This record gives sequence, C-alpha cells and structure tokens, in this order.
Amino acid sequence: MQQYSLKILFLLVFVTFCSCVLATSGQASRFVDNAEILSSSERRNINSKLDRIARDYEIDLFIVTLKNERDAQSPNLRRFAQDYFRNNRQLSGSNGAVLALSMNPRKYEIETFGRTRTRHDSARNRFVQGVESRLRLDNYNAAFNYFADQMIPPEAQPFIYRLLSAAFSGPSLLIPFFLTLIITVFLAWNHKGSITVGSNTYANPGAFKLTFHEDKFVETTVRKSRINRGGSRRSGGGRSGGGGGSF
Amino acid sequence: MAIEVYYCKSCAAPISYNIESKKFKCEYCFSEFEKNEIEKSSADEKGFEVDESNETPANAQLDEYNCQACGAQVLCEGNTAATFCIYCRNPSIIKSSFSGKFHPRFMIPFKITQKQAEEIYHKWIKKRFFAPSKFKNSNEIHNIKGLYAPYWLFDCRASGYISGEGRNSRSYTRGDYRITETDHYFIQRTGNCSYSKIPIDGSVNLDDELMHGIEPYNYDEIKDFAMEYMSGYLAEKYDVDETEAMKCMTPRAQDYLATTLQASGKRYQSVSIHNKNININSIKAAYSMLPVYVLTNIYNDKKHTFIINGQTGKTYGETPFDKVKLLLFSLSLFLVLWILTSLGVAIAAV
Repeated sequence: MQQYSLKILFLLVFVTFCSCVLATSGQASRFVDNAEILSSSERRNINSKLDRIARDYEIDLFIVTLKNERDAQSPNLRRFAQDYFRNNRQLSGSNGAVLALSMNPRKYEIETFGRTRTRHDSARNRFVQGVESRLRLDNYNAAFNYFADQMIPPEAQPFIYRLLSAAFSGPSLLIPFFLTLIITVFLAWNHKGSITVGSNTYANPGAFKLTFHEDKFVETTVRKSRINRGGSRRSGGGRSGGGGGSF
Repeated sequence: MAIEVYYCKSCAAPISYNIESKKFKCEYCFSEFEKNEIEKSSADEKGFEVDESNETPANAQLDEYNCQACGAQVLCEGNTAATFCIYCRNPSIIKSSFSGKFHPRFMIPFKITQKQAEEIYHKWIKKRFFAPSKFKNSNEIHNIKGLYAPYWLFDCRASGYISGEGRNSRSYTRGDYRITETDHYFIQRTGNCSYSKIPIDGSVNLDDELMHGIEPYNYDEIKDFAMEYMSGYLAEKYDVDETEAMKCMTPRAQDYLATTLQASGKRYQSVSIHNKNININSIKAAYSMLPVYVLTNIYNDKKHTFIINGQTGKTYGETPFDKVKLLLFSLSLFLVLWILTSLGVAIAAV
C-alpha cells in the first residue's frame, strides 16, 4: 500500500513537472530576432530582462525584429505589432508593449497597451525619441534595453533614476530656462527704477473730451493651427497607443 | 556779484531752512525762526561785488563770490544759484541768479532730509543685484547733495485725432485644430484735454530721462518762490530756456492725449495706431525750482547718476552692470529652478 502511494506521488510530481516544462516551452519567446541583429548572448540577456520585467511588474513585453517589412504579413508594422501582442500575450489583462522593427525598410513601431499605454502617453515623445536615437546609431542592443527599462513603472524605479530621467526631460529644462530669462530680464530692466507718470498724471480733472469716435467693422480673419499632440509620432484612439518612424 | 545770506538773530551765524521743523534753524545756537522773522543781510549793502571784467577766458564759465563767513573767494559754475563755501560750509545764495528772467514763479520745498536721502540711496543700491560690489560698497553716500533744480512747468491744451486698427480675438479648438478668429475694426477718435504743470528740467547737466524717472511731484505743496528756502541747498538757474524745453514737452503732451484717446470709446484687446495728428496750444510756462537729491559716482571713468525726488522720495538712477555677476546669477537661478522642477517631475511621476 505504501509502495502504491509512493508511486502515485512520484507520478503526480512527474506529471506536474512535465506540464510545467510543456507550458514554459509553449510560451513564445519575448524577444524574437528574425533579422538576426543581436549576438546570442545579447539575445539571452534581453530575453531574460523582458521575462523578469514581465514577471515582476506583470507587463507583457515583446520585441520582434524582421528582415523585411513584408515578413510581417500585415498591412503595416503598427498592425503587425498590435496583432503580435494579441496573439502572443501570456499574462492576464491587456497590459504591455511591443517593439516591432523592420530592417528593410528601416522602420520601427512601438505599441503600448493597457496601463502601460496610459503611463507612456504623457511622455511619449521622449520615450520614442530615446529608442529612435539609439536605433539610428545601429546600437540595437542599447535601444532594446532602453525600451525594456522604460517599461518598468516609475514607482518601481530607484528615485535617483527617476530624478535623472526627469532632469533631462523637456519641461524640466524649458521651464527653468524661461523662468530664469524672465526674472533676469525683469531685474535688469528694473535696474534704474520705474517711470510712474501716466497719461493722466498731469491732465486736469475732467478736462478730457472725446468729441468724435468711430468703430467700423472691417473683416474677420481666421487662423487655423494644428495642435501638436506629440509631434510626428502619433498616438491614436482605440485600445492601444504608440509611436514609430524610420531610423 | 550780489549774494544773499540769512543770519541768526541770536548769534549772527548763517542759518538754513530745516525740513523737519519747517523753520529756519541756526546750526550753532539751535535757534529757530519763521520765514518772516529772519533777518536778511544783503551783500549788496556791504559792497561785496565781484568785478566781472577780471574774468579771464579760461574761467569764463565760472563765477566767483566772497564768502560772508570766512571771506574766502569761492568759485562756482556760471549757472549756480545757491551753494556752500567749500572752506567753512557757509550757505550762500547768489541773488543775481534769481533776478530778472531768472526769477522763479514757483517752488516746492524739500521734504526729505539729507539723512533720509542717504537711507533711501542705501536701500536702493542694496537692491541693485547686478551692480558691481565695488560700486555698491564705495563710500560715496555722503556726497549726496540737495539741489533745487530749475524746471519749466508747462500748462497746455492738446487736441487732435488718432486712427488705426482695433482687434478682438477669440480662440477655440475643433478636432485637431486650434482656430483663432479675429475681428478687425477701423477706429477713429477725436478729442482734447488740458494739462497742468508738465515738468521739464531746465538744466543741461541734469539727464532728462533721470529727471523724468523721479516724477511726479505733488503740486498740492507748491508755493510761490521764496529765496529763503534756497538757503542750505545747492541751486542752479536754468540754462535751457522755455523754447527749448517746449520741444521736450510737446511730444510728451501729444503722447498723453494719444494714449487717452486710444483708451477711450469701445475697448479692444489690441490697438495699433496708424495715423495721429495732435496739436498743442495755449502753452504757458512757469519757471520753478523743484527739490532733488543728486549723487554722481564715477566708476571705470564713467559717470553714474542717482536722483531722489526731494519731496516724495521717488528714486531713479543708473548703475554699472557687472556682466560676471549677471551670468553667475542667471546660472545659479537656472540650476536651482532646474533641480526643483526635476524633483517635482520625479515625485509627480510616482
């Protein structure tokens, strides 16, 4: 009886182990390098990084490279990234991001979903620019790592990292620049003192008489200017958002 | 040259007008006198007359007089009207500088004392961020001098018209576009206004911009000219006559009316004037003496003048710029703001 029990227990452990192995091997790799642009060690590193971020922060992250845009078998790279996420996501909930890269033509697309999209909407330009600038230098490994790092929720990042990241963002540089300019110009302009004499200072009280006035309507002009919602990098409606371009 | 000195009835020392007590005070025996009480002593009576024929071409721009207290011969500039003896600080008034066409119609007495003027300067210079430290710390503060400056006070009437364009805009968002609609109007205004006592300084030595900066004076306290008030202060007679001064007054009065016309009638968000024609007439000029405190500092061979309105205490002046200070201040301010903004953004990102 004891032998049977042991065999059954052993069998259960074996079945559990096998199902785990099968389940793991059935999951798509988070980094798919069809264009073969990274070395095997770099691939391993980026893959484990994406896995770790996915596990720790529950974000489905994918990076897919293509030799040719035609390989995507989709109308465009954006659609490919959206479909890829839908077909390959491994976690519950639709929270994640895909970086799709085509080497011919040299194009890339970043699609974000769920919470990740909400979080990145406000800082999209900077984020997309960060990836693009590295891609332009053919520093693919750095671009993918940057993409992965940016997916870590800010609250999980060390404060110093957040601070440095904020320090070199547009608002953190532009706001102090313009404030400094305004304060310095004001102090320099106010250096001599102020002229306080106005047009009524020396006028005799009640002496002004407006003898004639005319206000003739001439025309109405209309000026239209496009609202810049993240420059050339679009973020449309729907369930996903993203940006991309050439590099 | 005839000079006027006022003496103490008690001790016969020279006396001067004291702002705080609003009386004439003797600095030696501290006696105080009302204006009508003070004893006048005319140098004419004592026969102190400078022989002007002795002037040499080299000092043709200078006058000289004999000090009534110490007898020293004192040189002063040709347009000086009241001054001090450089040896004994005895105040003297050069009577001829206030006679004939140089007799002022009005004056405003000093209300700010020398000590208050020094404090005002001290506060003012402390706030000049970009003035060089060496300039700020220089011990020139005691050289600040009370001066009755010659002014022309103009009464006039301005009449004319302005025409131009008035604009009102409204903005709204439609789809991806920001739309701004602007209504344009042709506007025309005609009117007139009378002005009273527009002050134009009558001295070449005093910078027009600086004198404009210490305006306005409170004319409620204006008095008919009385020579007694000059005692204890420097004074100058005018060297810019009313015709020249009128050339400065006319554009000012024209601007005043143009601004008033522009602000009258229907209001617009922005107005640009394309045409204006404003005439100034019924001009009356009154020569007057108005109180100022003047301090001139020389820094790097350049004169920097600071002026206080001797009645209201309003200040205006020029100081040199320290470019290094300006740069350091801007950089420091930028760094502080940068750090604060970065911290704010980093904390807000959580």
